[in-house]
Amino acid sequence: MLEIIVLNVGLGDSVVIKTQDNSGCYYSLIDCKKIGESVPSIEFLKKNKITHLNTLFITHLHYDHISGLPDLANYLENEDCTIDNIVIPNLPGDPGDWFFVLEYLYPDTLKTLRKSILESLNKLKNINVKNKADGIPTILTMNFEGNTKPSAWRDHLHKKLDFVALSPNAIDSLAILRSAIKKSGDSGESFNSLCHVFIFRYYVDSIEYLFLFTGDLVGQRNWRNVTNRCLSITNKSILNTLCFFKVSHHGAYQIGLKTCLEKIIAVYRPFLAAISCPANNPKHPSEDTLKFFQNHFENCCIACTNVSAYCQDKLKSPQQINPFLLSAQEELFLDSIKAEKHTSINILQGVCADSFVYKIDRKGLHYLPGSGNSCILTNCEECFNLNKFTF
Amino acid sequence: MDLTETHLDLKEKKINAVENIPDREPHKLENLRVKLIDWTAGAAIASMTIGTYTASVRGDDIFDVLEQKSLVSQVYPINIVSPKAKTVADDLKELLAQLDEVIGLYPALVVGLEENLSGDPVKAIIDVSVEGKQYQIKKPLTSIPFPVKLYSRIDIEVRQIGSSKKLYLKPFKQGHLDEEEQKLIKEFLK
Repeated sequence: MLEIIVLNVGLGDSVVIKTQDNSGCYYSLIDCKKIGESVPSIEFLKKNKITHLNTLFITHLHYDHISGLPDLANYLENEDCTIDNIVIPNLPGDPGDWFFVLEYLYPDTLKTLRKSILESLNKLKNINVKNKADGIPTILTMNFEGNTKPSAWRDHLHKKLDFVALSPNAIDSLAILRSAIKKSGDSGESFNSLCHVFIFRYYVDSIEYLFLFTGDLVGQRNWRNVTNRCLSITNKSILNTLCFFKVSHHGAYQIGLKTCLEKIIAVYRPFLAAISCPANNPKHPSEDTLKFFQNHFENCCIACTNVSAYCQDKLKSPQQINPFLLSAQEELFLDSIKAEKHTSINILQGVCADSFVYKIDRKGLHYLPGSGNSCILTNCEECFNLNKFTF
Repeated sequence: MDLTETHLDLKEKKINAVENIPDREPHKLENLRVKLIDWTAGAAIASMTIGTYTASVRGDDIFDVLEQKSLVSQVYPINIVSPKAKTVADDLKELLAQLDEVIGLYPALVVGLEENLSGDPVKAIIDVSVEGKQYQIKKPLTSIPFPVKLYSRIDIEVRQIGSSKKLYLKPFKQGHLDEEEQKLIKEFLK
């Protein structure tokens, strides 16, 4: 069984990936954002009494993806937890490049945070030694290495889960850094192009499921690269087996995203588009992004971590065919699922009130709304019948 | 600082100070601007500015140095040129700092420029992230004391002035890693 738990962290990312087989449960974490005083990924670890992470993926160094690392490192250290691998942000190996990026992204106004993030990286690196476990976590830079053959898939970072880094490669990184250095007054957004993009592969009874995590990817050239690599590495099976797409940059609209999805997702396949976004923010997700999904993919569910009145208003009109699942209705929704065919579904509530869970098991693929504000947007009312999402 | 000094006393002391403390920096200039807003029995309400420090204050303590009731509602500059006066300015800064507290400094980004009918940009739309929450503010370009363009990064300083909070926009300043931070990176990448 595989579960993807998209935690609500407002503007930012924090995703838990869980796989389970007869030998036990295995967990990995993609990014770790703090929201207010809370770090939802820590709450998840606590609640589920998790003391071992297979892999901690850090997609890039922006605040909204790593601000929870200091708390996470402290928690793991204090709870005697261990980690097998840490996938670090993709930067050229020279410490000087790290200096530049950190100085650029974290001005001295954020010095305390900057320093605590650096301390936490070292703490995480030494966590196994500190907690008397064997070995230290493997620190990995996951460049796209140009390999688009089946051998590109890596299978040892998470039990039963293969994956490939699709972007960036070393040359991209260097080019992006150089351009940022030259461009005075750069907003720091160009560093989103350095963000890791991963594609994951999971098998249930020899059926392949693909998941695309696009981090904060921006830039048409990068999207074009990702599209081509996706199609090559999956031997175009992505057209039929992509079932989960983590929408990049919290739903900000991009032409590159549109072009990429049009090429790699067959319109007739059901899939879930997950958007990790704040409430009431006009850019995240943008109206154009939501409409693009609605207009192009008939069997697409868009799940946002935060329902906002803003989204609701935008999508109610003009089509009036967008059923909304607001928190008050969720229980009814869950009850209706239980009452129908899925009485055996183990309904997992997200630890954060408005996170959501996406689950694949032998019965198929399920979307499980959390207990709070998570919402599901779709232009097909029948999609609420989860049979639609059963492969 | 002797709060009972008048500005005239200060002038005299400046001269004395220059004479008596020659090893200090006599060329340092500080410009204290005081605008008295109101004067009530026994107390003054005014705004005071020294350099980048501004505070609205009420009370008879500070304004004992300015026994000039006739200056109500006028800008009253004191050019402080002496080392002794510099010390007075420092004391005032300290005092003002207590009244005018910086409670946060947040990175922000200009995400849009509003134009007038002639197509000239007049307002900046600024996204600022405060403890994970995203806010959007609009500021007339004329109120921003430095040039901004679309996607300019800026810093927003939030100050508590009495019971109210005020936002101050500052040009973005790139960070500088200290030795310890550089060491941490090298250790991590080792």
